[in-house]
Amino acid sequence: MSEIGGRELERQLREHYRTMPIDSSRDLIAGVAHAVDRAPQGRRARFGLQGAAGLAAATAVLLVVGALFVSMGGALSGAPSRSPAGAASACTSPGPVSSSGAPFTASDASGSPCAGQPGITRAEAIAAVERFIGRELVQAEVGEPTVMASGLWLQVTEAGPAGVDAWVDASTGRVTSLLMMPVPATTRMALDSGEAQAAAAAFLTAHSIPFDGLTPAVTIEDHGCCKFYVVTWQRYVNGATVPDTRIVKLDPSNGAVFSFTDTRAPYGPVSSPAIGREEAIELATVASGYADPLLGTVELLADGRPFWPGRMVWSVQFHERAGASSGAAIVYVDAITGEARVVARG
Amino acid sequence: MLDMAIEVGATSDDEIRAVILARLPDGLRLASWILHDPVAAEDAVQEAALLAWDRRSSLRDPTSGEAWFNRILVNVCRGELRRRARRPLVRDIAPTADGSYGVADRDELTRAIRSLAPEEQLLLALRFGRDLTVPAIAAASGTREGTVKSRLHSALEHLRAVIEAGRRLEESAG
Repeated sequence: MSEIGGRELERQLREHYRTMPIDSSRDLIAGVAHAVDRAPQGRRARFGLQGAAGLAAATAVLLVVGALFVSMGGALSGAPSRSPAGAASACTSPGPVSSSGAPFTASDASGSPCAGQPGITRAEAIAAVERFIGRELVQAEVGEPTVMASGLWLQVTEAGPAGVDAWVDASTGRVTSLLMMPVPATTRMALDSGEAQAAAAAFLTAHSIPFDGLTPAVTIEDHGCCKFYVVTWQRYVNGATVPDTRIVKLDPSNGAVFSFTDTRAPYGPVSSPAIGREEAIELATVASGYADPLLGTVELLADGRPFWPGRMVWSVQFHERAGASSGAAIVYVDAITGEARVVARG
Repeated sequence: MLDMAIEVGATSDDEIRAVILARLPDGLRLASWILHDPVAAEDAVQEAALLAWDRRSSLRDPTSGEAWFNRILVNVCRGELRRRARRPLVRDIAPTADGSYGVADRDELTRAIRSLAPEEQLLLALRFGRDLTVPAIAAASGTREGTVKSRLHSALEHLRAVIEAGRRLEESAG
């Protein structure tokens, strides 16, 4: 057996870190931007919990929100305006399309009023969650109405190891996001991906949540300690991701659903991209400044938030080839004009 | 270094928001180096970003945003490493069902690093991944310089011992 010298070990360590594959950060940026804007102030106070417990609960919920947008490919991600003007303009977005293909109205696109007070009481928000999960909540708390670009929302939190965190549309009382504790702590994969998708579909159907016309995908989220099935239904219009998504997370050992998110937000007409995928890659390559980069993820986004709100963009990710410095870049290419811009470089 | 094309807004909240978003790609890299798990790294960066937003009043000077955010991220990663240390290590030797995910501990060096104490893992990532100097590591990890030096030394010694023990085991088995 050969012994490892100090210099050799240090060289191996540097090489180890330098060549470690790093996931895309574009979705992460978009997810965090949304989460920050979704809960811009006083998060801990709204949860009504103290210290670490409150922070843990807040983080858990917001990670679910972040995961949603990671899973969505960032179409809805981004930075809805925190200003009243921003909220109002989102309510009047022209020509959104509902999941059934019919036009949304200003109120049913988000299911929320454009401004003002929630249409339901706190007790009604709690009742909505109780109907959804089929049991009474214990020591439930309802936060202050949270203004987002697409309306008003109420957060319902049940403390305790078997509690729930839910977001309720403050206009309609529709439960749009739910996390049921405890999160499964297992790596046992008793279901295959088809069974997981069927279980997730049964959950949506049982709760009368439409998903016709959406494209399903099944992935496995691996946290080392535990694995989850993540079943995502995403709407694509002209090849672009739009904010119409259902995400169901299941315990892989028994198919039990522990997390659910239903996102339907207004979006404008999605035109066909004038710039094709290959042309976008060429334009992005030039903009990246890399001579011969490795191509990463390429996605067509209906909205380039937070960097280019309101513009359909191709998001093109590059890595420098092995042997060069370990750089990476994300380039947005306007899918209509072809304008290219490096939005992140690391 | 990071070069984010994010325009800084007029208000301080907008400025801090831009600072946080600008740190994410680099933060993801750092968290991946420390945690050796892409999913955990992403979780850590998200948690750090939300913590940073909660604590935004503590950022006095946006030009020091990198050090400010890194301190928060390193603490989040430290917490995750400590949680990991308290529970049995789960290793995926076989590919997972979809063949795409899996804990990235399949090579010798990764396994050896993950067997170290949390603080040692963290320091190795900052020193050999991030290529920070000892004073910079001390600032980022909230540890004294002397302690950083001694822990780095012991981390390398432990790492060497773990690798060599693993090789001896393989030789005796094969």
